[in-house]
Amino acid sequence: MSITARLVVLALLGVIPVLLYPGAVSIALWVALLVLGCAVDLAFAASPRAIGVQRMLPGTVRLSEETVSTLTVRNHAKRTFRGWIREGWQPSAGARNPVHRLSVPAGEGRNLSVQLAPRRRGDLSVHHVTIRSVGPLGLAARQVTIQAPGTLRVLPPFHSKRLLPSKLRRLRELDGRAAVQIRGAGTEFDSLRDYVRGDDVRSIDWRASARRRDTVVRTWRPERDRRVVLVLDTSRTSAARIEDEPRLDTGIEASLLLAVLAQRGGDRVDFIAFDRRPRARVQSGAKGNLLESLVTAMAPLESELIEADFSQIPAQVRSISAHRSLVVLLTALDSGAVEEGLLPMLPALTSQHVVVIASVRDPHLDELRSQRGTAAETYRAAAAERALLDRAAIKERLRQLGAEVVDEAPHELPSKLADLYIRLKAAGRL
Amino acid sequence: MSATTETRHPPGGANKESTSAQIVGDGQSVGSTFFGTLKQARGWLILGALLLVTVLIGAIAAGSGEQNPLSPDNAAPGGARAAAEVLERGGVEVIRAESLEDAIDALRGSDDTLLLHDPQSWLTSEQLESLGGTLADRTVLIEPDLTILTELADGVRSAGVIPADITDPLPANCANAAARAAGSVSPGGFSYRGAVTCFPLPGEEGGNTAGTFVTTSDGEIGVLGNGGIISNGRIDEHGNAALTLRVLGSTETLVWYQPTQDDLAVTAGPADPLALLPDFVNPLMLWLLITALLAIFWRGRRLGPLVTEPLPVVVRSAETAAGRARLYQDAGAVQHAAETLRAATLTRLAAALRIPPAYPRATVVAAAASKTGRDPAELDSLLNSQLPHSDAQLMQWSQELDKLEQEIRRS
Repeated sequence: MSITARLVVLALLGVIPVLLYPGAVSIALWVALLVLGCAVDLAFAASPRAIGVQRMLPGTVRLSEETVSTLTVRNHAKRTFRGWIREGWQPSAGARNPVHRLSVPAGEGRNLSVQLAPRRRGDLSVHHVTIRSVGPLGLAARQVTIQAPGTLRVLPPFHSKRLLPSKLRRLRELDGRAAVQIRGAGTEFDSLRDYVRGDDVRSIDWRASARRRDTVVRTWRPERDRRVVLVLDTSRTSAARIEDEPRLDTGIEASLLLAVLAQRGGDRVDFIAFDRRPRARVQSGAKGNLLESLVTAMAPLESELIEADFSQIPAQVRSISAHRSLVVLLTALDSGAVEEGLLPMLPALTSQHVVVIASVRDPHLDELRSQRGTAAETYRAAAAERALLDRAAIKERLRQLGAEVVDEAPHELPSKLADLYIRLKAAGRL
Repeated sequence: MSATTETRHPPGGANKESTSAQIVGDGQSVGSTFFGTLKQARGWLILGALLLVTVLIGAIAAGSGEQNPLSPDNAAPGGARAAAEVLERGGVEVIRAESLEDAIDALRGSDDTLLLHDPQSWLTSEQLESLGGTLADRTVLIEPDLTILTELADGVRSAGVIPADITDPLPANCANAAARAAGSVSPGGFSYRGAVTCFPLPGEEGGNTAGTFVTTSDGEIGVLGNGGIISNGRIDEHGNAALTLRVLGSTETLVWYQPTQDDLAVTAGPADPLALLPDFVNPLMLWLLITALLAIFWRGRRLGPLVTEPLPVVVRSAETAAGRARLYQDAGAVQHAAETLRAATLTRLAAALRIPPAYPRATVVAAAASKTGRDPAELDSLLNSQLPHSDAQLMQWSQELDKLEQEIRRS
């Protein structure tokens, strides 16, 4: 049970009789009045246990978008229900109006809309619905909390979607372009077309030119149906927050952009999230929209507080694709963890695949490096320099082992990774 | 490949709405909820009950008897309940006088004895005078002070404290019948001198001895210098009981009067400010307290339980660098820090000057000198040979490195 503001006001009104007739009698009478009022209300309130609730939830919503959870309330009691209903969403679901005041006549139903503005990626849950039914006098209420669980999957926001048009344009420029000076417009024969000034004379197809009167050049296009395997590291290093975004989220952004781009480029994209065991997996052969299945698989990913087991990665990649693939590892290049795990494993991977290692660089280190105002700042600058030097050394070793390295600030990483993919594709290295 | 550049990301298409089944009630009833709440609060209820019982027991124990010494209701060793009970059983009516007025009222009858024990000297001379005269047939003063003696026992004088080294019982050595019947009593308390002095202190033989029990010549006013004689703890020693019963039990009525602070003479002090408040203040306060409790309950009752948020791990990224910086500083690793700064600067300068990393430092120094127009020797000293030895030097030197780097970037 609970009481309302009205009861408190009524109790406050009791000051008047207590002032006029000071003594125990006036107090006792007024207490009796209040108790009677509450008893009447509790007895004649619509039973909150006779209220049916039914929730309608959108299955998924993108972070930064808003959605609505609709609660249908049906009154199976014999009396009109008046009172409050609250949906128990977890705080990060960002429920704008979780509490509703409403009145439902006996036998009728009402729809409540709870506006949700999720603030976190992942599965957000609602556990219960609390019903508070006020009596006819509006002094006291009966309250019941019923378990009505529900889950809303909040998908990653995919902010880097805005980069997609420009990257796609660059990808298409590779397509159908004459094989000019650069060796890198692709190696697959595409079509013949008339020679225009500026074309490389070496690409003139003399035989075709002989058949026709005009000079004809061969055009090339990049290979298609190559395999791209995205491996997202969800181990402890992915929990680090850089520019107010965990590494994991930056990795998700970058892999989404790359996946969509590669798919448009005609390649087959597989995704796996891994630390010591696979946390999520999306296969290229699966039906349906790749992006949709990717975001759904990525939504519930969380950083695990364990060390990644890189030695398993080659086997995992082999289980996905037996052929030469572009393996993109989205991980962290922190000295220590890399020497132990990534470096020993890398030769096994580079021997068979093209390996790209993408990592988020911390711009804060650059800030620390250039602040040299006090002794403490100078030491911090030295420590930052040490971290940057270590990082540079690791990158150098990775390159020596045959991997491509993309090490960029969070907002740059998706774009740079996509650029690298386009460059590799243009060079025919896929 | 499709001509559109827009992605086919589908907030709408794949967004399957899910509808849960209708849920009615929580499977409980009013009774089960009530008992469930009770069960949840069981620990607190038990604790509250224990507290209540403890308080009640304490109150009962405290109220069962007063703690005043020589009180007829005090059963402790310092009390005198034993004497009072025996006297009552022997047919003496023991009246416990709560105030001076009570005592005077009780003494209006005939054949009565007044027992006055006022160790705190609450009564004034005037009040003592009102007890004197012929009001009481007999008066027994327990350990009286000078004021009491002056007003009620003219002729009896105080003779000081009985030394603690006297441990043998004091023999009667006087003509008083009660004292002779008692034979001897426990030593202690005060001694007095008067007309008839009983139980004299040893070594004070003679005409004017001091004793622990003194009466006037007519025997109607007795002064007992040792209250311990009638106390529960020591009444059974020696002849204490005999003396007590004979002295106190010789009349039909015994008025046992121990003045309290309530007997203090009322003076014209400042009035109690609380007494000036109107009648309704206390009920009003009580009512406002009730209202406040209701308001607390109104605001305090939540609309459903709290919902927990499973928080993700948050690791600040530059934490390790900050930690290493503190280590450098605490260890005073000036040269180590300097070497790191030097190496990083040279690496960046080489990159900015388009010199491959494998080239010697001298090449970088020469290139930097020609780029900035600075003295090569000076630059060589800055980049190669200078070695800071203190925090201040390190700071200054690192700032110079930074300045050089910016200069080369700009040019």
